[in-house]
Amino acid sequence: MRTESHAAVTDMAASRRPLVAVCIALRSSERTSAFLGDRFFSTTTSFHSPAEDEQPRKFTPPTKPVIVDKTQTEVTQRKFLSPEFIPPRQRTVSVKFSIERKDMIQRRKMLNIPEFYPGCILAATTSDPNANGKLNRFVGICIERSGKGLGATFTLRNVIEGQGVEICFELYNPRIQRIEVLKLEKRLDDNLTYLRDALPEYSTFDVNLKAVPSPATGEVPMNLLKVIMKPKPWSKRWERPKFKIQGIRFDLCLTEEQKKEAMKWDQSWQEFDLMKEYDTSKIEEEIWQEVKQEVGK
Amino acid sequence: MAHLRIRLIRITCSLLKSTNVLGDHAATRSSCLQLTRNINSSTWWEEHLSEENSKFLRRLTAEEFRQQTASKECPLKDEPWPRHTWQPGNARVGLIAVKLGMMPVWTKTGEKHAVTMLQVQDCHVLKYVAKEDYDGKVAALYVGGKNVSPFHRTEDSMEIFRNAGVPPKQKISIFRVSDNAILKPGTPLYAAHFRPGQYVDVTAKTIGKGFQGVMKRWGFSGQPASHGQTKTHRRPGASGPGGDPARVFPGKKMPGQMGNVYNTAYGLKVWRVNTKHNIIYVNGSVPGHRNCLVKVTDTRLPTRTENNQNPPFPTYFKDGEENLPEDLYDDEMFQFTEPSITYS
Amino acid sequence: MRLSLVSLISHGRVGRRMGLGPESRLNLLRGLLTGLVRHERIETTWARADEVRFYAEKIIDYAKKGDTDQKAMKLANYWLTEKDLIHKLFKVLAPRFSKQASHYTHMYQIPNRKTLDRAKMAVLEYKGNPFPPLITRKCDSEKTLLNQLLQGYRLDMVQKKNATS
Repeated sequence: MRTESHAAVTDMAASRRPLVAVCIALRSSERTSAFLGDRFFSTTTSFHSPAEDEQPRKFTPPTKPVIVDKTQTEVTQRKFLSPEFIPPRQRTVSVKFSIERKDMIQRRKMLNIPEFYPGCILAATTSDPNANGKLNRFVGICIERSGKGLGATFTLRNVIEGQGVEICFELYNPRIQRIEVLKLEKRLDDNLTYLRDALPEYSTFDVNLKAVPSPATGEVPMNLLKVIMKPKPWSKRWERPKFKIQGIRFDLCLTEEQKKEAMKWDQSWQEFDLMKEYDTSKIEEEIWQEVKQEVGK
Repeated sequence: MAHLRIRLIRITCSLLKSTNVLGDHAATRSSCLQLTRNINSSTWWEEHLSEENSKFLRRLTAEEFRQQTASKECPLKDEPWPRHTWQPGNARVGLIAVKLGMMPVWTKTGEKHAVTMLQVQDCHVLKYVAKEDYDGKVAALYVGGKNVSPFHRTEDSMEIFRNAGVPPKQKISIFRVSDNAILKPGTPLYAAHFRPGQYVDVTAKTIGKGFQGVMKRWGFSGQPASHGQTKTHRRPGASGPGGDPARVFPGKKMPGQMGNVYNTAYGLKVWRVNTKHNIIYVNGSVPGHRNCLVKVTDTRLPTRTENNQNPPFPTYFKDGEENLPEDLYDDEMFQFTEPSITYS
Repeated sequence: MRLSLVSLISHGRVGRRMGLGPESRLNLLRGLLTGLVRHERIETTWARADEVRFYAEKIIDYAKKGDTDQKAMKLANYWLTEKDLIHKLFKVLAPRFSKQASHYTHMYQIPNRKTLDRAKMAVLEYKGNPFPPLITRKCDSEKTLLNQLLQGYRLDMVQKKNATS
């Protein structure tokens, strides 16, 4: 028996409207109080000093406090090309991709699409005609990035009130207002759809999660977390070698016999088939130059 | 192979003839032909032409095509045919385009639509057939699309291109047009012939699926996999009533060839036109595989014709007074230069 | 018949179906490639030669990265079933093609097999092998009437162009 049922919402999760509104109100009150506290602290020191000295000094205005917005992640300095820019390996005229790329770059000038990977925790704000305040913010872990060109998507997953929710956002949809990276990290796998079959604690995230500042340079931090799965049956047989899953504690959920059984589907010779290789390094370099040049304008 | 070789020799001979180098050495020419005819191999370029000469010939042909295309850019300059104004009920010529693939577009209200990109490549009017010569009712225009090598065309089919003075084309289509919409052979056609907001029909050959059974071809349900089935899982079942008609009615859905037949998608909206790359963005899917050549016309659907008022008539001329931006958008379509959509 | 690798990439198909399945196909091609690296010229059916040709060229590309490259070594270890040939691949073949960017092989069609199935046969060889060439150089047709006339015409055009400019 499965304890949790999943609702994969493709567009907007209208049912969570009141919850989100409450969260936003909470957040704003917290922020104002913290800000006030800061101000009081900085001014008190200047009040005390003239009381000890008899001679009145010339008034010096207090130094302007430097406000660093730590919720905003810095613009990445890494060489990162979004995967949807790389054309798929097929027989299509290249002009199709170059025209699509122009539109994508145009959209990126209007909306900051940050660097993120499957495994990052994101918050996507979309405009929704049915939502309270016409805005909808969803926090979740990015479990998948798919699609090429303008149709690229990313899927966010979270467990809300004991109910697994997944929303598939279109990256270039004009309804997307803001994409924030709350925590930038990579996981052991490029596709985390197995979180559907993992214990809910691995895909539960606080909707008021504060952004963790991430380094703008250097390697992206790796999270070597291995998840514990719910008992079988799973939505897919994740133990099969074709998924190449690293991030599951198979030793807890599979017997030796089951592991041996799974290895019957081992096709390790596939990697030696040179015909199936798709070397994108050259295309990637060209496109990266183009994107960097255009977005920088 | 043989006809290719003959073509090559003919090109060479016509070149030489035009400069009078050959003079009256017709006898040597025929001997060349005989020499080449009976050898059947793919190394025909190297066998008789030195490397420099073959390169030279290739370059010359390419140059000639380019000149032909360039000279047709402005057909108005040399004795243009009279142009008329658009009247309701007039039939314009259509285009031949290459299907590039699909992509999404969004409207200003935030709805998503899938569009197909159709690129117009080297589309030229080839021939005009008057009403009397065609079928006595309407005039016809032959239109060709996408240049090909002359070595991929037979000598007989080259005539139409030579008369129009354009490079040989991969596909020729016939469009039935009204009398005031006729165009001079050699006129280039562009994607701006269609404008955003209007509706078109797209005809192409569907992707071939081969000989298929009824489940794939017609969507029959088939029979169960088990429960005592004997050799009956994907079969059609009964084909009609028994003794009374004592026959199978015509049009019964049966196994057979699926795909690779001409099909038309009617009433597709044009969302956007790119005038630089000559791309038409047409709503929805279009028959045929990627890179296939499709025929695009104004829609025949009577309910959609009100959107097709006052199109560029008889077609869009590049050197006309109209100065178009690079991209033409439909009014409802979201452009990526705008900020994100907000609802109030 | 495959015209190019790109033209075959449709519906995810990239190779011919051979042997008893994908694994068997690779094993079959491995044997052929090992023979090719050892003898530098092999005779086989046309389809197999055409199929193994891609791998024969690709393995040279990898071998050019040097024997210190981990992936190149792994691939060489898989594709060459006789391990003494790994040395030959990195030390003989890779330096031989160091100046060439691609097209390391020749393929020629030869008369059909006489026995059994009358299969279409081909010869596959690495360029620069020590054997005498299979195809003798074609005779020079520079002096034929057609070529001479064309050459005259070409030179005329060049002269005309020079005179006008």
